[in-house]
Amino acid sequence: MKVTTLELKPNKAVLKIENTKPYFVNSLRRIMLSELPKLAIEDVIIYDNTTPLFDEIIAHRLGMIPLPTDLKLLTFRDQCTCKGKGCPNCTVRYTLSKEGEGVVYSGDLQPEEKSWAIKEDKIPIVELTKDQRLILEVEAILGRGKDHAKWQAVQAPAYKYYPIIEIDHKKCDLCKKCIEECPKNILEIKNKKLSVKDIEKCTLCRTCMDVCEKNAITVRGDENKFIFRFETDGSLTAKEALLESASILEKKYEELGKLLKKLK
Amino acid sequence: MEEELERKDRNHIGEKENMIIPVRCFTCGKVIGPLYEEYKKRYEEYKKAVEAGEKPKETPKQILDDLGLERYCCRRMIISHVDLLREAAPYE
Amino acid sequence: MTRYKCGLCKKPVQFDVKNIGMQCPYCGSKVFYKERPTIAKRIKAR
Repeated sequence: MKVTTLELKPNKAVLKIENTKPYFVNSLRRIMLSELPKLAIEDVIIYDNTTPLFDEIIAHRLGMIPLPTDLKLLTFRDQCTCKGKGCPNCTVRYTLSKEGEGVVYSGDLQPEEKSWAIKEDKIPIVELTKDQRLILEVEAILGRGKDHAKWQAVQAPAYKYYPIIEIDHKKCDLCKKCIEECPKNILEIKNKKLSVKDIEKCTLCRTCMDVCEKNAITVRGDENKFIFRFETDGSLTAKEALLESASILEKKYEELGKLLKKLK
Repeated sequence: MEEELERKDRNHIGEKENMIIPVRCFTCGKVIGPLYEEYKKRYEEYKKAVEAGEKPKETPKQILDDLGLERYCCRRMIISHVDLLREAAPYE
Repeated sequence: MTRYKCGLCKKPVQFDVKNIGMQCPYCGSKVFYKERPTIAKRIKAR
């Protein structure tokens, strides 16, 4: 197997994975969706709320905020030494108190320790008019995407076969129909020959195949080569999310291996 | 009178969940909450330019691309949102 | 006696539970909001 990064930003990654099969890339994708832990607000204690939104709606909106997660510092609450009571090892607390005119933003949530300050601080929670008040306290815990979507750190993980576009230059009469029809505009004529500009942009839609009267163009996917892409919501960086997912997958296989050895 | 009618109609559709821009995209989960205010500001500029008969600095398509919304699920969250929270503001 | 807030003039008013037919003594409005109790409410963010 060979992996190349095509793009790596804090919140987004595009990888090229070679010499593997769909089941492997898909298992990584599914780990990212449902097993990767992340911090999110779970309990909301509302002291006063005179805003136009219901308590439950505010609580739900708070739950969706991405919180910066350091997986080395935190444990799951049910596996914690405090036995589910909520100690600094498994719980992060924030308080919010705002009154009078203005918008309540996610950045108004004050953390107990500065290192947990919310990076995505411009998410509107609710708008207050004069004399309206919102006072609350929240507890954030680690969770997994399979329990609730708010604990899903990775957005839109997806893979596709690496495209192969074959052009038969003997049949091609340079009619330019395929160039016009291609939704991604990746075909061009270079040195009086039809050629592909950026093959990685191809979505394997085969519109060019359908439109070509001479059958000069064929599009197929390489079944051993993939383009894998995903985004994160900012609670983990793309790199952290990928490495953590890979180690979760590794642990799962190790566990399976141990169990299989016990069988006779 | 016309304004009154329009408000009545809009109140009819207004459900509490959708009065303020949702935090995340319903379909993919991308955080879109903070983008709405900026989109609105830049859209108003575009609208002003079009109404004045000038060439706008950027089209709504370019604004959405610039905000980093590449999937159409996130784009529709911003485009189709109607901010109604202020209408309900006097009620607790 | 239960505390309410008048929906029209926003003044706090009190009514007996036995009272039938509520009306604001200041403005005559018949719409009231019940005041929020001062206990903390714990809910799940789901």
